[in-house]
Amino acid sequence: MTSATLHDIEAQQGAIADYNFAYLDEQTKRMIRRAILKGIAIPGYQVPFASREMPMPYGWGTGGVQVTASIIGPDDTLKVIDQGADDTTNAVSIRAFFARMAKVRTTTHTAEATVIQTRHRIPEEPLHEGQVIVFQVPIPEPLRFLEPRETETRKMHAVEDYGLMHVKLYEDIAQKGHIATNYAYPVKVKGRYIMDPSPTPKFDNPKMHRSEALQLYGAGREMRIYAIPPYTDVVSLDFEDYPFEIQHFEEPCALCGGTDVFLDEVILDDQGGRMFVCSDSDYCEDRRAHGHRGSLSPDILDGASADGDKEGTEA
Amino acid sequence: MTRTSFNKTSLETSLEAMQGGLGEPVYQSQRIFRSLMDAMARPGTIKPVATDARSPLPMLPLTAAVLATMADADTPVWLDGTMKDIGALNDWLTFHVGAPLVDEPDAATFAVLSGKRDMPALESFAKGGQDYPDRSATLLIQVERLENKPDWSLSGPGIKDTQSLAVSPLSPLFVAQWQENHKLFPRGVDVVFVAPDTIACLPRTTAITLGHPASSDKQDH
Repeated sequence: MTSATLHDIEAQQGAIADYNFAYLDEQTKRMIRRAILKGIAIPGYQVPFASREMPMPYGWGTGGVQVTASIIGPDDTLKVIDQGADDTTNAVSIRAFFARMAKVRTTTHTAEATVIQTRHRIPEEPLHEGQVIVFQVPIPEPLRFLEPRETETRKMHAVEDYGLMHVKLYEDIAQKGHIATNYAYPVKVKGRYIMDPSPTPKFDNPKMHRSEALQLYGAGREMRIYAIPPYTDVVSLDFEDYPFEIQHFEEPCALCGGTDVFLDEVILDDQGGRMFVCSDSDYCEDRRAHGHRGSLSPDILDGASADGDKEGTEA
Repeated sequence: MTRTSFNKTSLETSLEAMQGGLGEPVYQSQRIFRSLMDAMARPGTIKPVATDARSPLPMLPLTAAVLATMADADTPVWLDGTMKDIGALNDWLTFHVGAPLVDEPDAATFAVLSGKRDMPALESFAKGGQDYPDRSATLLIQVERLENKPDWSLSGPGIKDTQSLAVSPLSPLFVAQWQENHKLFPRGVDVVFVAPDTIACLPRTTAITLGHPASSDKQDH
């Protein structure tokens, strides 16, 4: 049966079946909703949940999809990003999944979204009150690579024994001269639980601190849900003499001239040519729509002048 | 021990119990959950919640709707003395929620109680362990009014500066018991206050500071 025929059947029925609105059955949603409420009540604590098999493989965001499916309703507007971009495979397919299974509006504009599902980035535009950001998490346990036994890590969280994590950060400094963790940089939530913010670049860690939006984290394979309520202290671990620092980029975005944003490297040829562009595609497009230009914008290459400190390349 | 309530003395009773469930349960429970999630994420904010559930007294229709949204066969429910022996209510819950009703408060995932004077102590409910603090009860406390008056000044995660809240009627022992509960973090119970048309939440992370209520009993001094 082609998808067009399926679509015709759905159109005939007027709507998808209510019972599996947003794919999951109601009992599963209740179980996940209970885990979400406890997660909010215990910020940073990983609540076990009975993760379901989803129509996509582990690693594609089954945890995030289950959380989104349990909170989303017909009034929501969904944005899905994959490393900041709305137009990559993971983002496109999850967005299409919910457009079909929950008939929700979708958007690429951060400000318009009520629910944002993300694979590892927080949008550049500050989130506002009432928005929910859902993170896809591969390995929720920040202590897992230090202590493989769940029984032990559970005890360590229970008694707030986080010395091992500090030793790990110290060893980084001793061996490499700096804390060599660029993503999944551990944070302490509300002064209690150490939490893995998913493999988000540490550039985004400061955005988690006292965010106006509710942050929910879903790990499908590892069967954990956790949360950070709005206006909650989220502190990246560091030392007095080696304070936490985010990445800095030397040049602005080549397309929109944006600075103080997280940039992706794009290889242009096999001669070493490369450019750096905003990882947040919506932010970059919005800036360009407002007339901002980077050094490699098509019209800059034609002779107009660019934003930022780079001069237009001579064409 | 679970208490089943198959005291269907007549066909009428069972027919009555089948009435008054959530209309469009999938969408209504989604809306109710989102209000609950927002209320839990922003403690003390008062969320208007609409429902067409009709449950036998003295359970408020909104309490029944929250139970129908959140509870099921996996979650034991405890009812306080004002509700536990009402056969019609037990029948309604059995049919629409399907949760086992339990006698021991600490066996319950959800507990429904009236906020009045004879409220059982918070510490009688499951607080979870240090290793699994999520295995703790959520209390649905039925009250008449929720107002943003400064009886309480709330602070903690989810609250930008402070949030005022006034709950009435409420046992005079509640605040002292809540302070003990708050100190247990990460263990503890979480509370959902349910008024006829609104809800407000107190997760265990929320600290209550007594404000200066404008009510008359304060001016007597």
